[in-house]
Amino acid sequence: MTGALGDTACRSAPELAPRAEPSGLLSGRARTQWTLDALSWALPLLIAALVASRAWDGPGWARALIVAAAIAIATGGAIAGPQLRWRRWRYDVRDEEVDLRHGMVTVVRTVVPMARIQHVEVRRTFLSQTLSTATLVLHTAAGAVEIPALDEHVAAALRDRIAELARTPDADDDR
Amino acid sequence: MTADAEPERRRLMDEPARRLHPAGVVLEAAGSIGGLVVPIVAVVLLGASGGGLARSLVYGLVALAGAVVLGIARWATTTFHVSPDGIALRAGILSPDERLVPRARIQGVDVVQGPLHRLLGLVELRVQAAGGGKSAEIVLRALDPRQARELGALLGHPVHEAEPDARWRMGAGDLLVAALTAPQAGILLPLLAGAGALAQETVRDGGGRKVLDLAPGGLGPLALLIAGLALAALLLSIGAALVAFGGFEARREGGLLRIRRGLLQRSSVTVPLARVHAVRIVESPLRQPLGLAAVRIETVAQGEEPAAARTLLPLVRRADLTHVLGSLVPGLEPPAAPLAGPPPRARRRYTLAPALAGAALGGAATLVASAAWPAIALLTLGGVAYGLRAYADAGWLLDGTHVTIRSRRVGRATLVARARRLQAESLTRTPLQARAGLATLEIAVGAGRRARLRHVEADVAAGLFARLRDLAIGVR
Repeated sequence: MTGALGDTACRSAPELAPRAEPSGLLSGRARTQWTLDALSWALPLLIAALVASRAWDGPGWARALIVAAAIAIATGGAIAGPQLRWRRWRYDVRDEEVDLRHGMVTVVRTVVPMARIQHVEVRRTFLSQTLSTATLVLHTAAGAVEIPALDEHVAAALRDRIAELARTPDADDDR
Repeated sequence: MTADAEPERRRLMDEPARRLHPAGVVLEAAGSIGGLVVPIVAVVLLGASGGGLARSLVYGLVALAGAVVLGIARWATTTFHVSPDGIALRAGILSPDERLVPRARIQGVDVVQGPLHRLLGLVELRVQAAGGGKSAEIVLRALDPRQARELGALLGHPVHEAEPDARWRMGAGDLLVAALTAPQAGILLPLLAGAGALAQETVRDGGGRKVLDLAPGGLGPLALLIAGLALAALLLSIGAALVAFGGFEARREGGLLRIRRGLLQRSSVTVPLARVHAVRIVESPLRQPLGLAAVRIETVAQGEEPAAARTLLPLVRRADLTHVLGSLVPGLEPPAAPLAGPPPRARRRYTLAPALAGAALGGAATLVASAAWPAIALLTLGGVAYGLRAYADAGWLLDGTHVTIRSRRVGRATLVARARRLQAESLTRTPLQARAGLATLEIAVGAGRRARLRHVEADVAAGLFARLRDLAIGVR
């Protein structure tokens, strides 16, 4: 397999000293935000399950099972999910690239070269504003990448820093 | 990043304002009529039903006059400024929009000539810029060809043709084959299959007598209908290919790539070679068995162009690919060395999902009609066969500064990209992949084209990821 990488790549492994994995954390309030976000479907689900178990005259254990399943899904999605998601999210903004790693089950590592970033956006919702968090959106020609639920002042500082770095023209001023 | 456009903007606006060619009024009016065609027809019909021909004619004339007035207003409110710094366009009747593309952001300049343009001896100039959808494009609808040449030269994207260093033309035979193997031609297959099944049925029902019975009354018209539909589909496909690719020519003039195509609407796309970040070789299921492929170029320009606009070669023999691409887009030809593939233990990961999908589809069909039960086995086997193909097709190669990734969805696609120009890359690992020591690598190029290398050795994927990252940020 190494053959395909050629002499320039895999074989000279020491040169490839892997840069540090990303280490920045999202805002601690991200968890609260995601939990509140999840309530918008978790609560209706619970209510629907309760109503269904009342209305349906099936065996008692089956009705209990419906309610239990709804409670499990709701707590999983609204409480455990945000906790795990927050614990897995890491980001780093370096001079030459933005490095992200996230994913509760499937782990995704994404790198976007700084020179490819066309513009930066700070996105807020009503909920995120009350929690003073904001989402940083990095736009490239090939689409956007998000760093969700950062502390508002961190997001603003990152936006300014990335805007400054991204302005440095690329070698062929070609994005 | 509007800030760094400010000085350019000021300097540009100091340039004298230019206008489109006056005959542009006709084009604008025709455009408005095109947009109003439904209301106009409705009004005319309404008039016809209410008060006879005279009134509907009056309505029609009123609409026409409206369109002309609108055309004049549009023409009068459209001005543009051009200098070696870039191009700015101000257009709009009530709320003028202003668009500015600095020279460095220009990805390419296209010259388009529709039938009406040809009648008036005018051209349309489209300046492509990076990013942002429709607003990434400045369209000058009506220009004198000489003025178009002047603007192109000013912006550093000459639109007049020079002596080519390499040239590829599409012959009539190629056009016919392209039409016959186009995705639209896929409609033919079920029709032919239906005809075949029908014929078989008749024969099996046996007896010359029965066939004779059926032929005049039952089977004849049906067969005729199927043949008619097949013919219509065929003609449609040939027509579409002619309209899109009639007179197709791709040429390289030094560092410029020029693609000319189209029968009714002639367009000529000019892209600097350095702005071609990747080429994508697509072998569709109909074409691959015949050793044929199509090639697209990937740039960051994303005007609202149809797919055909970024086609470099509508149809090319696989055997000629290296030679043709080597002369048109040197460096982006498919590598001569064989690609490395995923390890053998990844094979079942490629086959399992399509096999399950096939089984599920067959199961669903059986639920609907129980006689369809053989579909479960057939579709499962089909899924396995597809998965094995996808496994065999998957491959990659890092060749100096170019990365090649080959994969299959419906057809087989090979992306050859300049690693320095990658927009983003990501490395994905599901829990099952983590247990098996495998990973999936995805790269994004140009205006969002992605190529995915699934289930390769985790350390190989990580090595490639790290190397591509270095190349993309300019580490040698």
